[in-house]
Formats: sequence, structure tokens, C-alpha cells
Amino acid sequence: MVVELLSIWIPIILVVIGLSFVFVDWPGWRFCETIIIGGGTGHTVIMCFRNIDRTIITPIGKGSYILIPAILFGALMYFRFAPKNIRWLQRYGYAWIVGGGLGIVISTMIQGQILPAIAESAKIIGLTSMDTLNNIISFVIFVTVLSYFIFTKEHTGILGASANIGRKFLMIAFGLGFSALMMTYFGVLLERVLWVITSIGL
Amino acid sequence: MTETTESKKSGSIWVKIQNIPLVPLQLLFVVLIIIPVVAGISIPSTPSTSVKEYYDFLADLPEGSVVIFNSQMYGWNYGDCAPGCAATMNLVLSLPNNLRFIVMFVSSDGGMFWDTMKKDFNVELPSDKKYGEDYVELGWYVGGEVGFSTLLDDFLTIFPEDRYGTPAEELPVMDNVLTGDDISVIIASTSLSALVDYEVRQAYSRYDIPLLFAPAGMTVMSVIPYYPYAVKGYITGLTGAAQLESLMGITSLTSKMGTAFSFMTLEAFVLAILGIVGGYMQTREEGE
Amino acid sequence: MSTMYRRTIPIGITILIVAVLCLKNFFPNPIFDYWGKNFQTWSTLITTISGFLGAIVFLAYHVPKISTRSHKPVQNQWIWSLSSVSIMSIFIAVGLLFGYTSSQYQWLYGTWYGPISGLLNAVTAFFALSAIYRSFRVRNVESLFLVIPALIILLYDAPIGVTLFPPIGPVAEYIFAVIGPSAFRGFIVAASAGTLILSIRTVIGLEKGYLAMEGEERGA
Repeated sequence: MVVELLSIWIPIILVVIGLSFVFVDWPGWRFCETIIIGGGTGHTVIMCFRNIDRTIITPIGKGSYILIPAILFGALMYFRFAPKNIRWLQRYGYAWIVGGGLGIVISTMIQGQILPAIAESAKIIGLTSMDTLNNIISFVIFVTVLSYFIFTKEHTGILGASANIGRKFLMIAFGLGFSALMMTYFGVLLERVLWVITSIGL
Repeated sequence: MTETTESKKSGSIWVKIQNIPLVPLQLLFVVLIIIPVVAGISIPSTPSTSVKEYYDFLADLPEGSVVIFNSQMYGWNYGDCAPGCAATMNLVLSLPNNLRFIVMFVSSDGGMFWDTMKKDFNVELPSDKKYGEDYVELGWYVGGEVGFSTLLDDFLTIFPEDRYGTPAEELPVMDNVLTGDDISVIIASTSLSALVDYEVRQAYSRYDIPLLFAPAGMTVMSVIPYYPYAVKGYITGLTGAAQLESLMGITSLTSKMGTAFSFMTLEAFVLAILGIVGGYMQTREEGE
Repeated sequence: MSTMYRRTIPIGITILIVAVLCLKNFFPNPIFDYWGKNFQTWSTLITTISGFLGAIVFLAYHVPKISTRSHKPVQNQWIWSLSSVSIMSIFIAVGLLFGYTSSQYQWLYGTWYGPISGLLNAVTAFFALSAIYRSFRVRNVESLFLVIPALIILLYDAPIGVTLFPPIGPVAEYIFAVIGPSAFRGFIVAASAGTLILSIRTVIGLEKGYLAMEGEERGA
């Protein structure tokens, strides 16, 4: 019974203390901050143990010895905390991670992001005349925005005019982005306040 | 500047409307959240084109298709992503085409917040659906894009078992889900722009997997460039989720949140107008 | 010899992995597939194993603050550091002793951490409101290109917006369907080209930033 009551009221009190930060920076808020930081780090450590057990230890136990080099290179990452003369061993672990990331990005960037975006923007003829008009507008917007990002030539003449128009379209797009960003912040606050009032029982 | 001019300036209505004290405005912000919930006010949502396409795409999938739900929901984006996750889960599990719903998490908190979402939004498995046969929660995959790419090449390397330790071989929902070729669609709920990009690079470009998104508002600008060739539909934040629910004909906490959100946004809009008009008129006065 | 171990071999490893992964994706072949998948898997698993680095750095920052009773950067910092480390230790102890699916851990997480983990983002909403009020100013015609779409989308996002001002519906849908995607597509192509060039420079060894280490000379 006591545990149940604590389970309801502790989070409510913590959320109200946390939201009070907007009005005053006081030790209660600092304590909430330490819970967020400490709790988050602790939870990540627990989940790391679980992931290592599930994806490395258990498969090796079942005979997937091909994973053993991963353990060796992963262990090298911790040489970051070793004495200076052997600290460079951490670079071998980073090289794997960076290599893996770069490999899949380089091999998929062009056909995954660049070419399809160009192909979609270059579609002019649509099913209806309205579609065709919209496609033409899309193409113009795409080209002018792209010209804004050409930094190897000075923005004068035709390039300058195009970049200027592209800038306007980018501003429209970032106006959209700004409002959408506000939606996220409002949504997170809204959910927490609603949770407090429904937990209280209103 | 004369005293009369200065006192005129500080007393000017245009200066005053730009300097309303913030604390009452912020308290009003909170009150506007509470009023519609307590008073039971409800404002209907009209589904947008992208929401209708999201719904239609899932409804038109062949029988038994595999739907992967990639949830990046955690504390920081819970309020904006949770309604979309709840609405999508309700939709997928209620459609008559018996879709296989496989959930995985991008963040270490993903599983915990998924449980919180199910509790807060009263999401339950329909009576004709069973965990392990129609629906499964796999767990957290590490490594960002590399992890996702590895997963698409060999699912069981990253997820040999589900969240609760049940081996994948014992879960009928995971039958023949071995690579990206076996996946019909990937839905992602995220506030991370990089996730959108890497899903397009890995899932769409390598395996031609169509994508749906239930992004937080801040991520929608990363989603729309890929629409409609890679991204077949999207529901943005809690308003998108409210629109999806109105399309499904159900009301839940999401609809209440949509109404409260309307009131909050109205206050922000009014304050923006006051600031813009006040600033413009003050500049004009100073110019005279 | 030292340069070979410290720089050349790590760059060589990066080049090897990138080459194998590119060959796997561009020239499907059983050998490239096998080694490409293995290299990818190892890269993922190395990231998994290095998951504890964050916790160690966390401790490396806070433990000295506690032991020296530090008051930097804030007054009584050592108390807050002690609180953070204690809470982390409690989570780890309960998680390891009882398991993360146990009721004890679920209670700890759901009562103490889960409800407040997003608060930093939630309080930002108040500051966002203040930013909208205080900094939305139209100083020239050009700023209208930012302000007007922002206001239209702000209203459109709310269910009541279209009810109160019906014309914003089609305008907002047009921004979302035509203007926004096209503009962001241009942005993405430009950003992707830049990322690709930076990636290639890293692979060929021109960008050595990822090899930098604390306390070491640049280029060592």
C-alpha cells in the first residue's frame, strides 16, 4: 500500500519540481537533474550488459567463434584510459567503427540519397496539368536551392540571382521546420502536464 | 531625445504589448492544457493527405506482410512520438490483412517507454492476436546505421531472441524474417534526422523497402524530401496521430492531447502576432 | 615504426573495411558478401562492447569532484556529483542483482527516472514560447519569407487552426507537398555531396580527426 502510494506521488512530485525550473533554479531541480543523468547512465550500462550477453557471449557459446575478433578490438577501445605510451591502441577500435560507418555510407549515399532526389525533382510531366505545373515549380525550387550551396564560385550574375531565389525558398522551408520543432516541444510538455493531472485524478 | 518623447516611448501601447511579463503567460500556457481536459472539450481533426496515404498503404498490404516498427521513442520525445506509436499499433493490429508487427528499439530506453506508452494509451492486443504469433518486441539494436545495415543483411545476428529472452526460432511471427528481402514495410517513429537518412540509404536503396514514418514534429523536415518516392506516407507528431485516429474512427488520450495542443498553439500564435505587430508599429513610430 | 603502428595501420584498417563493404554492395559475390557481413557485424559488436565508455567517463568526471569536495562549476558541485554517482550505482546494482525485467528494476525506473527523463525537453517548451513572443520580428521584407510560413504551419498543426482559418489548410498542404520537399531535397543533395567528399577524404587518410586522442600531439 505504501509502495503503491509512493509509486504514484514520487513521480508527480519530481515532475512538478522539474517543471518549476522554468520559474526558479533551486536545489530541487538540481536533484532532479542528477536523477536524470545518473539514472540514464545506469540504465544504459544495464542494457549494454544485456546486449553483450545476447549478441556476443551467447552466440560464441553456441559456436560463432568468428565474433572473437570483435571482442579483441572492442577491448582495445578501453585503452583510452591507459598510460600515454600505449593509449594509441584505442585507434584500432575506432578504425573499425569509423571504417564500418564510412563503408556503408559511401556505398549507399549516391544511389540512396543523391540520385533519387535528383530523379524525383527532375520529373516534369505529371498526370494532370496541375501536377505538371507543380513539378515545374519543384524543379525550379530544387535547382535554385542547390545553386545557393555552390561556394566555389562567387554568387554574381545568373548564379547570384538563382542563389537569392533559392535562399527565399530555403527560408520558407525553415519556417516550416521551426513550427514543426515547436510542435515537438509543446507536445512533450503537454504530455507531462496531462500525465500529472490524470495521475492526481482530475 | 526629450523627456516627453521618452515617456511617450515607454508608455507606448506598442512597447507594452511586446513586454507582457513572461510568468503569467507561461502559467496561462499550462492552464490552457488543463482546461480542455477537465471541461471535456473535443475538437475534431481532419486527416491530411499524408495521413490518408499512411493508412491506405498499410491497409493495402498483402495478407501476412511483415511490418517492422523502428521506435526511437524515449524520454525526450515521448510526448510527441507516443501518440503516433499507439495509433500505429492499434491500426496495424486491427487491420483485416493480418499483418505481422515486429517492434524494435533504437534507444536503450525504448523498451521501457514502449511499455509506458501501452499503459498510458490503453493499447492492448486485440482478442484474436497473440504475442509471438502476430506481434513481437525484439529489443534494442546498437550501432546506428551499421547496426541497422547488419540487421537488414542478417536479422538473427542482431536479434537472436526477443526482449524477454525467447529465441527467435520459437516465435512464429519471426518465421522467414531473415533479411531485408522479407520485410514489406518499415515504419519509424523518431526525433532523429540521421535515422531517416540511414533508413533511406540502407532499407530503401539496398532492399527497395518502402518506408512510413511517424516522426516527431522536429524531424518532419527530414522526412518530406523523401516523399513520395521512398516515404509512402507519414503522420507527424501528436496531431498526425490524432488525424489517424479520426480516420480509424476511435478516440483516446491522443484526441484529448490534440485539443489541448490546439489551445497551446493558439496562445503561441497570438503572442507571435502581438510581438510582430508591436515591433513593426514601434519601428514605424520611431521612424516618424 | 612508431608512425606505422599509431597511424598507418589504423588508416589501413579503415581503408580495408571501406573497400570490402563497397565491393560487397557494388559487386555481389560470395567472398565479398561473407567478409562484408562479418566486418559489419564486428563494427556493430565493437560499438556494443564500447557502451561502457560513457559510464567510465561519467565516473572519471564526477569521482574527483566528490573526493576533492569541489565547488566548480556550481556551488556544492560535489554533493550533486555524489547524488549522480549514487543514483547510477543504485540502478546498476538493482539491474544486475534482480535483472532489468524484474519488478524491482521496473519500479525504480518507472518511479524515479522514466517520468522525468524528458523534462529537459519539456521545459524548453516554455523557452520556445518566450522565443516566439520575443524574437519573432519582421525587420525587412525578406524576413516575411520565414515568418509567414512559420505562422501558417503553426496554426495548421493544431486541429483548431483549420477550423478557425480554413484558407490555411490548402496553403499549408502545398508547402508540405511541393515547396518544403523540393527545398529540402536541394539541401539534402548538397549536404550528401559534402558528406561523401568528407568520407572519401577520411578513407584516403587526408582527414585524421578520428585518430586524435586526448593528451597527444596532433599528427602523432
